[in-house]
Amino acid sequence: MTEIANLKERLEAYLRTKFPQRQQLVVTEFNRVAGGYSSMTYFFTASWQETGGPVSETLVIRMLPEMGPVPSYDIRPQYEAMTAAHRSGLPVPQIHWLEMNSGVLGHHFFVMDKVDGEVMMFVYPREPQFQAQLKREYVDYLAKIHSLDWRTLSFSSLQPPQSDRHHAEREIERWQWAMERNQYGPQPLLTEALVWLKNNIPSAERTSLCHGDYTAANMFCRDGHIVAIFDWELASLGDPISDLGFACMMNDTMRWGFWDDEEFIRAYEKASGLKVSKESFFFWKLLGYIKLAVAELGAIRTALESDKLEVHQFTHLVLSRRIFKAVAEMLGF
Amino acid sequence: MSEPCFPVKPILEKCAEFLEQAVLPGLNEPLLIQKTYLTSVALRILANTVEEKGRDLIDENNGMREVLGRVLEALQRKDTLSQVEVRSELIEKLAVTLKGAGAPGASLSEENARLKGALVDTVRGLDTLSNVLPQETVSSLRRQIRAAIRQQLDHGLAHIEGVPVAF
Repeated sequence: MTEIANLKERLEAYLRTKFPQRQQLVVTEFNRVAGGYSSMTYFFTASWQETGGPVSETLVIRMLPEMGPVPSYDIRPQYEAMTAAHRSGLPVPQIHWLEMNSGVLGHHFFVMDKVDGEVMMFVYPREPQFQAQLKREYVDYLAKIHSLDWRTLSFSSLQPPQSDRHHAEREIERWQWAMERNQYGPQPLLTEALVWLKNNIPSAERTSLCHGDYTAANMFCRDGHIVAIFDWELASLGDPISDLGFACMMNDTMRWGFWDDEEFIRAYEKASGLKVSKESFFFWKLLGYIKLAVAELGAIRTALESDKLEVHQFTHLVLSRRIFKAVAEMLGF
Repeated sequence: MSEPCFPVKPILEKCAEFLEQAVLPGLNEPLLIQKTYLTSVALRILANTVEEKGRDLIDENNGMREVLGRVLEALQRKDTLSQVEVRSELIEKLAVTLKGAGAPGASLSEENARLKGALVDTVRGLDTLSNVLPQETVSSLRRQIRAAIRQQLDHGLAHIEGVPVAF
């Protein structure tokens, strides 16, 4: 039996136990969705009989491995952040339940609504008539995430920073740990950059819910609007400027050309009413490069160790070198 | 590392060219088109890497040996330094790394990895020692370390030069 067939069978048995009132429940169209560095995503359709007739729904499973190229490996912050964002009216899929018994499918997972749409990074260059609207929504939603009052959102896994530098310190530690764990050989450039970051931590002016991976690659669009913001596995409570730095870093690295940094910062300041410090932005953009570099190195290592190595995974080499170049330029050498 | 006995670079480039010009135009299935295109990209990366690898590694290793030697020399100047544990550990690591470096017949790649490991330790050690070492010494060593890192980066970038990758 293939791995996917085995998972489907286990899911079906689990759903029958979880929903005993759903008669003759079957799972069909169980497929893994390609992409993503750490989370695994599966689509499935569950069909069953009710008094009124047959019922079916298509849902999505998000699962986190215990280890992967990118931390985190705790699914609860992602679940809490997405649930809070959905309840606050943001375009985030509704999560139906969280399953913390890793015996069910091998890892912790949650089940959420499937949203139809297309990834923004593909839509944007193809649909010039929607570009202004998409850019506006992109910034507005980021400002809205940051404006949520996290104190009232009953988070238990998402911990607020203990000082105005603690979020940055925590992030530096996390990515240094991930870099060392990935073991793709010693990394003098990234080490030098991490040392610089450690010695130049800015003070956060406020604490917000941060997405952690806010990019056009993690959004779905439909009819010129953003309809879903995904991939919250790096969510945290901390300095909101971290999301700006990461978004602009991705825009540069992937050569999307959606905006330049100044334009994006101005739009964010207008939408949020906050002032963005240049020093903070520089710090978080550089840390964004480190995050992506570590993810890329992890992806390369995973690809080389995998018995399913595919040649297209070599593009991680190209991307990682682009990132290294940007890091060196930011640090002035 | 000896030079390859057959012309690897042009062969790989020809393979990439064949995929791009003869195979790709005849494909219709999007995933297959993407994979074929990326296969040609991978071949071009390998082509750029293969002939430069030996010379690059020799240059990198020489650069790192030089800068690590200077760091070791600065750390051993007892009149200007406080005795701290980090310093002793770093001196020991650098001395061990440099002792066996550059031996004829040694694997360039393995030595490159060892020297990079020592460079990483040095970057961290210098940061810890920045308060006890003279400021101009730290600045000068840091500049030299960055130059060695830049050299490695430039080699890495040269391997992907002209690779037409769009994401």
